[in-house]
Amino acid sequence: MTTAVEEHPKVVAPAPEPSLAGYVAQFADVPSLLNAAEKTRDAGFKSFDCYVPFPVHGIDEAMGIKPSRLPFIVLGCAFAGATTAMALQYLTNAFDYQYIISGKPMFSIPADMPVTFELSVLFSAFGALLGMLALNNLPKFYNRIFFVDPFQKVTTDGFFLGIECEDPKFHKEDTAQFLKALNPVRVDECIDPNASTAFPKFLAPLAIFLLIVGLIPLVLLARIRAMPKDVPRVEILTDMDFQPKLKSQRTSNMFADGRGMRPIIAGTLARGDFYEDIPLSEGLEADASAEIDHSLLLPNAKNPDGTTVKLGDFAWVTEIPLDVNEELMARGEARYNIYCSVCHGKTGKGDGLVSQRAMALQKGTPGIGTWIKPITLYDQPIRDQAVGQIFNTITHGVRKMPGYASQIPVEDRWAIVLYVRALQKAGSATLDQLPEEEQKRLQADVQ
Amino acid sequence: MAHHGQTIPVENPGTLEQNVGQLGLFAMYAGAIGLLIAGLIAVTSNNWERFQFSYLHNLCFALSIALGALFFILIQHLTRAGWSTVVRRLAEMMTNGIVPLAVLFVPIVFLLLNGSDVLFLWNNKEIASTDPLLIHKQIYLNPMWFTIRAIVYFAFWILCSRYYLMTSAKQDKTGDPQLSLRMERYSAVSLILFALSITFASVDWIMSLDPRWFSTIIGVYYFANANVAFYATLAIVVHFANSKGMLNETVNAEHRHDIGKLLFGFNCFWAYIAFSQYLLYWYANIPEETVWYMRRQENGWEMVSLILIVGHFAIPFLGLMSRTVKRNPSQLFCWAVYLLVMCWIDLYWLIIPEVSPGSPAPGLIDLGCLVGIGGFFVFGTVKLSEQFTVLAVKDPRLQESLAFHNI
Repeated sequence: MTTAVEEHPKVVAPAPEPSLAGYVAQFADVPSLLNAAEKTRDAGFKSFDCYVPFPVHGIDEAMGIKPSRLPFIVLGCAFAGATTAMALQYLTNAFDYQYIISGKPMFSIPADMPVTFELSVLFSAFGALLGMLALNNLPKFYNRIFFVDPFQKVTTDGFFLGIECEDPKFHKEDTAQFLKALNPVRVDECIDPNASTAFPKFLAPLAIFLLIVGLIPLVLLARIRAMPKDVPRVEILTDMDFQPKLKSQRTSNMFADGRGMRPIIAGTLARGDFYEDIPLSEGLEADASAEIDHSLLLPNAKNPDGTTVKLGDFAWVTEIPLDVNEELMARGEARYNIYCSVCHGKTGKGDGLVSQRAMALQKGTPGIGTWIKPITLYDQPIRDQAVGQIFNTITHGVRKMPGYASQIPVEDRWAIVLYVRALQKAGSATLDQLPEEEQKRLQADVQ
Repeated sequence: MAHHGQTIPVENPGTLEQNVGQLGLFAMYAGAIGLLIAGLIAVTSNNWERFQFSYLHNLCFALSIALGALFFILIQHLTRAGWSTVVRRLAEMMTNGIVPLAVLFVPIVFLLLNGSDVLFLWNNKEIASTDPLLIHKQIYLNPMWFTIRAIVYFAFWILCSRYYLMTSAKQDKTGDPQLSLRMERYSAVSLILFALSITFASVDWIMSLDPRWFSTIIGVYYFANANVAFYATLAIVVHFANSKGMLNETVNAEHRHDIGKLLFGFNCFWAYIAFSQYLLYWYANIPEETVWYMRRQENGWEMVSLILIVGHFAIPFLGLMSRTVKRNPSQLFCWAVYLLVMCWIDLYWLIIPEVSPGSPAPGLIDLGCLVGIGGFFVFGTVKLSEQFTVLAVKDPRLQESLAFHNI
């Protein structure tokens, strides 16, 4: 502080002049302190306080302190927290970024409750802490009463009552007399040294300077790591920088061919992937499978001459190579509803939720999306396909649809094929194919 | 203020018999008449089913008060609580009500052992052995094992509560502080057994009414409800005692304040538990779970559900929050009566939809059963507690309790 004053001689702080700030009376025990507090309260003093080493029941009553306003601050904060949480969830979930989660409404109260509850509690806690600090005038670096010498006993066995000079009823002689009449152990003057409490001016530049100095080692480290050098770099964490592993697409001098990623040994099969039965595992007749290049079965494949592959020309299996029974149908229905219905819809009309949402997003902005609505599964071209080709579609995908071989096992794929056949039959059924009762019911409905 | 370090003189307030007179006898007549009327209506309107469910509902309600009292006693001993000593004897007396309830439970067991499936569908051999959701539950849900469990629950509750009442009463004469330490030692293990018994009892008597449904939180739900019911009853009992000139010198605003705080706190706890159960079922949306809530969301039951949300939680949450309300005798009394009614509705909502999914309207059978079971509950409580003093006069923590002061 002194340096700052010397450098700028125009700024001169007023010389501190000690003044009387109040009186502090010490009492022998709690009852006499309570008695004194009651008398002080009744005498009409407002700016006074009691200082004790432990909480004393009834002291707030004796001092005439009104119930704290803190509960109302906490309640207000709780409501603010609840409102904030609700508003936040409404804005994010139901307004700004509408997204269906678990099929619940966009703005659903039950799902919002946990966040609302937590935020109410959080805001309440902040309100309680900060409100308590504010109501107690905290934080405060010191209190002038600390300058009274006997006051140090307040943390062990001293019971004190202090009247401050700000009180309108405070009088230099009368107040001292009043306190002496309360039967205290002693009464002391509280002298405020009036020392300047301004923030020392050199602290701010010092803090900035220390911050910059503290950053230098970090900056140097960053420089060492980033600058081009002709000697080996300093590695701070060598085992993080050089991990004993090979990342994908990297070379390795461990193998003769220099490849880090090892090709699968010829004839390797994962457990459960081995099918001797070609029609079952590929949907193709066995001899046809041996002849053709299997890459042609992939989506959007081209012949060597550049023309599009006509999948329908291959020798597909025409009968499902499993026992067709109700169990397989039920399995197929379940798998279909899990894997296929999100796009194809539960009836195969191509109106699944994913499709609906993609169409809705593209609506009004043509050309921005690349979504193509899935083909209706009971359209004639699909109905004409052999079961083997439908199986191949599920396995490898077609056009935009990805293959599901990694998610759906072979038997389940056939079960889905069976269920798709059932959907096709249901979707293209004519009136006379229905049972007689249904026919009558429908005709009655029409009339 | 001047009482620091001084002993507060305590007058012996006398035994319960000297204080309440003929209350027990009156309650017994009311109970007999109530059950008789309910039974007569059930017979004439051929609504025996409703009678059984209503009987079980009111039995569970009365039991919740007594079990809440037992938990209160145990937790006070476990935590060496000082503030509660002035009202602990009242709670100890309330646990005596478990004895008449055990007797009233006998007809339910009797019907079950005779093959009745009115209350408990799982006792229907045909359904239990064919329904895929029930087949594997037969190991647990069968009449004999159910009966054994019920005997074990009641035996534990009665033994435990009698032990605490008798030991405390012994201390009234001897003033031996060792007895407090002994009660404290047993409280921990008793609390564990209490938690297990109340959980399994609510699974047996409330959850298994719909044997296909299951909830892992039902025990805590009933426990939360039991606590609200108990603290409400305690506040009511204290109010009546004070208005009769009983315990006027000992129970003051500080104790009422704490009873009010616990009532408020456990009511919030109830809401928290009830919502926790609902949220998980609502979110997972699994048919065999949501069917239970569906039954409570249609045909007028949705109104009862809303009454519980607003009336059992929102209104008392705001109403009972203030310090002034909790310290004011008549205001606390009003809220206690209100919450006790809400606890009754809560159990009504848990149990009655299983017999009357079509309409939530209560009838004279419910009223009769309430008066009937409630009457016998009060009768048993008073009769078995008559010879005890209404205050634990020589409890070593009584002075602490009398001098108790909220910050």
